[in-house]
Amino acid sequence: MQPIVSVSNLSFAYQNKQVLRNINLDIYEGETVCLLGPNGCGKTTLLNCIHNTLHIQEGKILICGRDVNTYSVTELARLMGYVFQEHTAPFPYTSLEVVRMGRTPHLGFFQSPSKQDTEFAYSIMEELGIAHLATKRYTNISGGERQLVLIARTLCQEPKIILFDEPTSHLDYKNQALVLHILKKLSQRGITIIMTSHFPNHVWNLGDKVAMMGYGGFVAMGNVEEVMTEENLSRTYGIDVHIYEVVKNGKIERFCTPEIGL
Amino acid sequence: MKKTDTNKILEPTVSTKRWLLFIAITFSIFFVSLFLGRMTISPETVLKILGKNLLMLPIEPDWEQSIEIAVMRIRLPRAIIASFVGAGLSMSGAAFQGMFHNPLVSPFILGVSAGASVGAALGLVMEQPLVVVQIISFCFGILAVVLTYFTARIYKTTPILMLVLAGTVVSAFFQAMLSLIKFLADTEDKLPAITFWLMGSMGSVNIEDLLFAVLPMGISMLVLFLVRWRLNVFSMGEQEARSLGLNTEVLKILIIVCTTLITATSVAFCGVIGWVGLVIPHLCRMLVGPDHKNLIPATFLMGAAYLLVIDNLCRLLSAAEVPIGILTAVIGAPIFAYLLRKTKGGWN
Repeated sequence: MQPIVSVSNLSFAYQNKQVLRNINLDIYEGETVCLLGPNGCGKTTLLNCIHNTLHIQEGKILICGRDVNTYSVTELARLMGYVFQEHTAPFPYTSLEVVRMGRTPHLGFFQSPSKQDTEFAYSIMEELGIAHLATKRYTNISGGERQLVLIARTLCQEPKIILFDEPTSHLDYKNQALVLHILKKLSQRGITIIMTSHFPNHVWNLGDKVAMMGYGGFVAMGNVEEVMTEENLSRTYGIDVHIYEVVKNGKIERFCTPEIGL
Repeated sequence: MKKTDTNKILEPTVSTKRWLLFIAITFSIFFVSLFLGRMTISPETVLKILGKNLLMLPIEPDWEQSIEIAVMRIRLPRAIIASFVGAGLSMSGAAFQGMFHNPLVSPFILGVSAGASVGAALGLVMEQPLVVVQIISFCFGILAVVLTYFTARIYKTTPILMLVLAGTVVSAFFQAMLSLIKFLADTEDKLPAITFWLMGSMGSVNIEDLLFAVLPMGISMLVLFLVRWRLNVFSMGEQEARSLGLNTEVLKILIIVCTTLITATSVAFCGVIGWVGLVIPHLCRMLVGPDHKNLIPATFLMGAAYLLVIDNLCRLLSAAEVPIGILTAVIGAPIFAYLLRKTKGGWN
């Protein structure tokens, strides 16, 4: 089977600061891939390279077997969505209007969204359980709600692949769980998910594959069961990490905590 | 049940009734502009004259020839140019404010007015006829924006911040050139001519070159109207807009070309008319909300109405016509201050 995203021998540097060195990564359709790693190791840079926002200096990125550089902005947006981490809304649009912006790649240049587009946007909001936000001003809703609106907007693009840059950062405990639940639902719909995270515990909830990054390249990569080991986590973050297993309702649950030395 | 629920939510935020009201206001002000003036002409006569000349109705003239000339050759062209300039500057301001996501952006941010002023001053110093002054002014306005655009361009992209900075630099340069020309100009007749020209007037447009003003502005406004929804997407920021499938470089160029055509034409024909492009978008955001789908048509109507009112005041306030650039600032600044206080400087 052909990978839906294939990264080979990728290297990237900002001016003279080398961030990514010789990265290889194959992702197959429907997989959820988590990128773990310390601050500044290049997780977001890798996402931006895959999204063709940053132009790579060495190596090759294939999306559905085609070089990412050969896609037009519109073509790529129909295939791949991106939920950004940093986000400021300049105007107080309604949430429905924000979600509807996801229809852009399906509209002609001089076209505005039709009634069908609006209904489609609304149906996605219903599906994610945020229909009550439709008429609310996007600037007045909470951070968690805003994240859900942005996910709805990305779904409006009808992409096969969605990139998430730390989808649960800035969110409270409940909203984190809610977003994870939605990510899981998207995955069940067959959408390929590539996400960065600062929460190793989320990997057990979500991931099929995990890639752990150090400065410059991968420390370990592969299936969650094989890669999520104390040794790999400790090497990735440079601290001692312990993994615990508990049996709850006949199911093994795993979680990890760092060792906090005093 | 569910269907109606959806329909209610999806209803446009601005009702048809409200749009009709806006249109009615603009058109009545336009009509009033035709019979107000030093020589008051009755509305009935104005209607008859319009019917005879525009619709070719067989109406027997019961008025003097001079009245017909005043309406058809002076007041009508003047009202048309005033509404186009007002509408154009306001639409450009709204488009730029969305594109730069900054409330203090005016349509002149890329240096078009400074460039066009230098062009006009050059033409006046060289004692060229009005048409030539207008052409030179138009060309210099375009030149300034082209300079700004290429100064801002790095690695095949033109980041928004670079555009603002380059626009400031180019404006400052052309302002200095203007000062130099003024300094060297003959203080007896040329310096006053330049000064008056820069303060703006709607009076210098005659019916023959009306088309040259209206055509580029009209086409540009149509294009801005067509891409208005994309301005919403653009205003989310460049990277996000691209991820949503919007080719931001193409849209940026399209908007810059349209606004430049509008502003360069308006400065070339009517001088520098400030504040309109700043005040009207803010006012309209209060009236119809921030969605550019409504905002752009609203700025078109309100901008036209606003500049017509101001131009009427210019003509009527005193025996000697007050330059319009003065009145737009004198009236615009307090209105803007009021709007800022009312909206607390925010966009919400």
